[in-house]
Amino acid sequence: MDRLPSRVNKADSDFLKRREHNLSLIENLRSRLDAVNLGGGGKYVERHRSRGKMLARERIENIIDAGTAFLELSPLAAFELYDGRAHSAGIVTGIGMVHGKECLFVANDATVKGGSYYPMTVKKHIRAQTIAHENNLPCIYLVDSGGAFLPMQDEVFPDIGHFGRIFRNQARMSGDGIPQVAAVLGSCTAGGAYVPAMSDESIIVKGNGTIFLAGPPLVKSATGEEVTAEELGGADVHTSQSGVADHFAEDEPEALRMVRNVVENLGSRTLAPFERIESEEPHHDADELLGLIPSDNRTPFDVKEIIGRIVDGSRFHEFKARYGQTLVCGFAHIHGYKVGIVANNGILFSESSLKGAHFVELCGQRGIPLIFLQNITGFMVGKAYEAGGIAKDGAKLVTAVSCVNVPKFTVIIGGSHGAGNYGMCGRAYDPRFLFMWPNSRISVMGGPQAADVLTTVKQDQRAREGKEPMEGEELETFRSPILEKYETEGSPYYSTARLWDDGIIDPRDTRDILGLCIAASRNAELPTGRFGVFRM
Amino acid sequence: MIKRVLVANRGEIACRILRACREAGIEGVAVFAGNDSTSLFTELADISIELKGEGLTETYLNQEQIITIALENGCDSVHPGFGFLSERADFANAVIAAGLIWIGPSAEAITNMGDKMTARMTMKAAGVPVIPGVEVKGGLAEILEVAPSVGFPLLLKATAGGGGKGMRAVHSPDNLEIEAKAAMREALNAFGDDRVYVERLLTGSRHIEIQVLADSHGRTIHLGERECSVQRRHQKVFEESPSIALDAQLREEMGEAACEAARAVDYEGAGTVEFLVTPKGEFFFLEMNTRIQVEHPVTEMVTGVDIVREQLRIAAGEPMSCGELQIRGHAIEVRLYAEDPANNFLPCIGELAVFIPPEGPGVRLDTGVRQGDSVTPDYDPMLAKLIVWAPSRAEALQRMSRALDEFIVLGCTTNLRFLRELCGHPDVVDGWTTTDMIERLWPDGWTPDMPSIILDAGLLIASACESSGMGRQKRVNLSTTGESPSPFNTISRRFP
Amino acid sequence: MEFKTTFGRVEINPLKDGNMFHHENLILDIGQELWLTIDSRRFKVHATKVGDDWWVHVLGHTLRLELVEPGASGMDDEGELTAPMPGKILEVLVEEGQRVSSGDPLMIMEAMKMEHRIVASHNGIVDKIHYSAGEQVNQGAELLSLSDE
Repeated sequence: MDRLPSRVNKADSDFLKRREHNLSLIENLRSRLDAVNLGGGGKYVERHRSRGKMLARERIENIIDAGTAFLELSPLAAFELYDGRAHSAGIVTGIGMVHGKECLFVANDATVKGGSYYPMTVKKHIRAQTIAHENNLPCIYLVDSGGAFLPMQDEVFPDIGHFGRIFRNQARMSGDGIPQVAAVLGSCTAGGAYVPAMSDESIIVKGNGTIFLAGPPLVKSATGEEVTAEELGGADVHTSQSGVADHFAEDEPEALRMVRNVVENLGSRTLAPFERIESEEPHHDADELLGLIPSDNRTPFDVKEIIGRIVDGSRFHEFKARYGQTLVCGFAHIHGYKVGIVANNGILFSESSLKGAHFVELCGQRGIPLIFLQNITGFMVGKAYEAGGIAKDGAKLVTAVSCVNVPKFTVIIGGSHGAGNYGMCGRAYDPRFLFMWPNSRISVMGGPQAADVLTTVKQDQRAREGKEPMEGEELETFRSPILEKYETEGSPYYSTARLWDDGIIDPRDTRDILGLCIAASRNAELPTGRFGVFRM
Repeated sequence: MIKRVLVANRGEIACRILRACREAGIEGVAVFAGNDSTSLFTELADISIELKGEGLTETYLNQEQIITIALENGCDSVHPGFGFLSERADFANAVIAAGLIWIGPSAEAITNMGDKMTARMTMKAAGVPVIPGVEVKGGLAEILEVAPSVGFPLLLKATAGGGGKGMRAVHSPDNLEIEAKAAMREALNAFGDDRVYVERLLTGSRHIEIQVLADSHGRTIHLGERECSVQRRHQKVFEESPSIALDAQLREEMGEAACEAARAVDYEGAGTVEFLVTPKGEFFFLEMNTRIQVEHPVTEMVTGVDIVREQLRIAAGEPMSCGELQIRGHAIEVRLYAEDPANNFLPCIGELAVFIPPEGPGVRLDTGVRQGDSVTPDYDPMLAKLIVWAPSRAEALQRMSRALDEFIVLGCTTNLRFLRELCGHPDVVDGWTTTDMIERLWPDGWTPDMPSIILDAGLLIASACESSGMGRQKRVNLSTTGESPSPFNTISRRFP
Repeated sequence: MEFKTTFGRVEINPLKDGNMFHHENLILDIGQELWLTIDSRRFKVHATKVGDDWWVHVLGHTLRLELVEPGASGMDDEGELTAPMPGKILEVLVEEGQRVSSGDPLMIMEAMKMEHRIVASHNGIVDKIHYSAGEQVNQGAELLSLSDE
């Protein structure tokens, strides 16, 4: 396969400025990640440890195979939500390898508000289960939670995407042959009690682990019975009398070892037949990505320079290179896996949409996973383009992306605006994973455009009412809150806090993370899929 | 008695010393920087300890750390090898102050010989002939001032060092200031001391050095000479013993002068006295190297003396074991460098994807690398020393040519072919070797003399291998079992 | 197949016959080992690939031959100097007669609130500039022409 050339001049002042800008964005990301890695921090962590408990991430670290990767998902969920202290939404999710099998972890962090479920905690738990379900990954629940966050019960309890969905998912996954394993390492009260109960196999640790529908205070007020937590729902009761749990662990390290033993006996798996060759580092240095990503999202950049720093050997077989050039399509390898890449190199026109739809169909036909690199302000507008049928050509791309049966992976590398987000496999189009770069922006349109549109609407309204048009300071006062709102809400942190993505990543890690995601996605066999009607 | 030696060095010489220790029943402790953790010498040691820190100053030049490691690991002695701390009197003192044996000469001897000006004065006083030149106390202005009185061509040398660092030949006054600044800068970087001195450059002369050994029982002997005239960028590439320029009488005179030099500083251990020998047969003291030399193997091959083993004996206070000097046959050493002779001998980096050394009678290889190692810009680019012994010089050259033809190094550019051509060059065959010979023979730089059939063969081989998919990534079988390792196995870190 | 050597670029296309490759009077036998036949004498040779370079050892000579990988298709296309979309020219960065290298920015245009850089597709001299700053252009309009050196 031919190698992509590179025209980068590393001594260029633009390159250096961009690099500095992007390094500061990454430093910001790192410091935010460092903050949430501490869980609840301070005395909460101390108290947690004093009970012989490890932090959620340490527990996972102790279960996964030594020296293997762990891909944490949405670590900045709930960022700046609630009181700003619900780090990672109080739950750690991610994919790691246990006895050679990729498994999905859901681990409560009891140092964050006792591990209770905020709306974003529920959303993150369910998102993790969705990933497990789509990719056929065994689920490991490390339970240490007091259940729903009661002050917000209306946002976590009854609806379709709320608490109840967690147990329904466990049942459905188990039904689809996806193992459900739980280790009860702390309290597991009320609704939470169903997590181990709904699991295929469960472990409970002596002393710290308790499972009950109602805790001792509630029991006392309901029936007057006085009972300790251990007597009510401790490891001994559940493994020898109730049968709610299967394995009795003396202490937490033993419980974690038992999780490994359980996973070792899960049986065989069938992997999707993706084509793979030996992996090769990109020929062009991934570090140069930082000098390529512009500091201002309006400045375009050649996405082939980006592709050349993500794919194996910087080798790329471009499809329809001379047609619809604002969308770059082609084949490459990532960590040896053959992939099809769809990447924006400008606005989407009719031609680029048709080319994209064609290429997506090709990948579906050949069983090749698709990677979308989003940097899109939208589809082209204007009289000539509407008349040329841009809407129906865009629809073809959306149809192809919606229906193709191969795993899709999306990375937002720049702007993600308008219907471009849809055509390029945004969150609503079920990419198996979606990540954002720290420089990226996501909103229905850019802030200035939104301000323009709303100003026009407002001015027209004033004209109808016979008022003078807004000018000067008045106009500024009208526009500036709009700009501010789009600035705030377009931030990748706003997105990741709300689980619109699976995390913000260092651009230089893109290749490795995609490699891990593809490896995880292989656990599910390709579904049979049919394309919808393409409007011709 | 010496029981456990810390080897304060790396690479080839660390291997040489550790092997000598093993043979003598002495335990060897290696110290290594983080980027050397998989180097060969760490495997040859009984104990290997990582030096904390980065860069030479924090690792191999970090006296305090090295001595601490020696004490913590029960060492009773320190062998400095060559380069690094080997000629640092303060290190010798620190080692001794820590209650350890310093395998080398006294700090006083190092100081007297290490400082080129002091060495000249000491030698002059001892009646050993020195090169005409002017001793400069330091400073650019003074260099510019005294240069004309020395005359051109002249040589600027770092007062503190050796190994070609801070050494500059100046052929005309026009270049003097630039070269003087460069020499001072190099000297400062290499030795932390920018004093430079000026001496007459004796063109057309030979670089001949005498190996001496002195023990604490009052015995000082010489082991004959080494001819080291073939140099590029003031570093030796081709060394031999004996030299055809010396007859028995001159050898004895120079040997006696060398022993005199050693005695003048109460020398103990192995050392080398370097001389320049003019075409007329005059010889001048150049400097004394108060350590084991890179090229010591040629002396070992022709005298049958194990110099490193003798160093260990002398340091332990025992008398040296060698008897009367006997020179037998002829030995040649060439230095294999990761460098591009076609590009002014500049160092190269790469991966020793294939490294197959020659074998057979009379062939010795001293190296610190093996196949699969990476050649990095972190250290000296010398990969190996190939030494041959044969009954006569002509046979030694034939043997060296044969051995070089057998030597296969792929993945990193080396001077292998240059060395091979050198061995067949009429000037070398005739023994017409002088310090300026490389510049004289290849004034426009060296390019390999490659017959077109070789290039055609190379192209055929490369294209045939490429089209047979030998360089291609292997297709991995992705059936459900026997799969290739998941990226989860190959990427060992946490994300994001 | 093309290689870069110290003597310049060389193209070679050996004839294949089973495990044997022929080129002029040379024959190479590729198996577990590599054997080269020159005038009916056989020599063992070595080759390995590191990155894009083939390293070959043959009869005491070491050769480094860099495999020339052609650039990806479409990247070397000429005549890219047309407006990719309708928009306005913001800035013209070159003058007629100016020598430019591949990748140099020539013009900046704006469309759909995006700046778009028109860059030189190859080394050459700016022949003619068809638009100046502030002008509106249609998609496909030739913005400037670039001649080969």
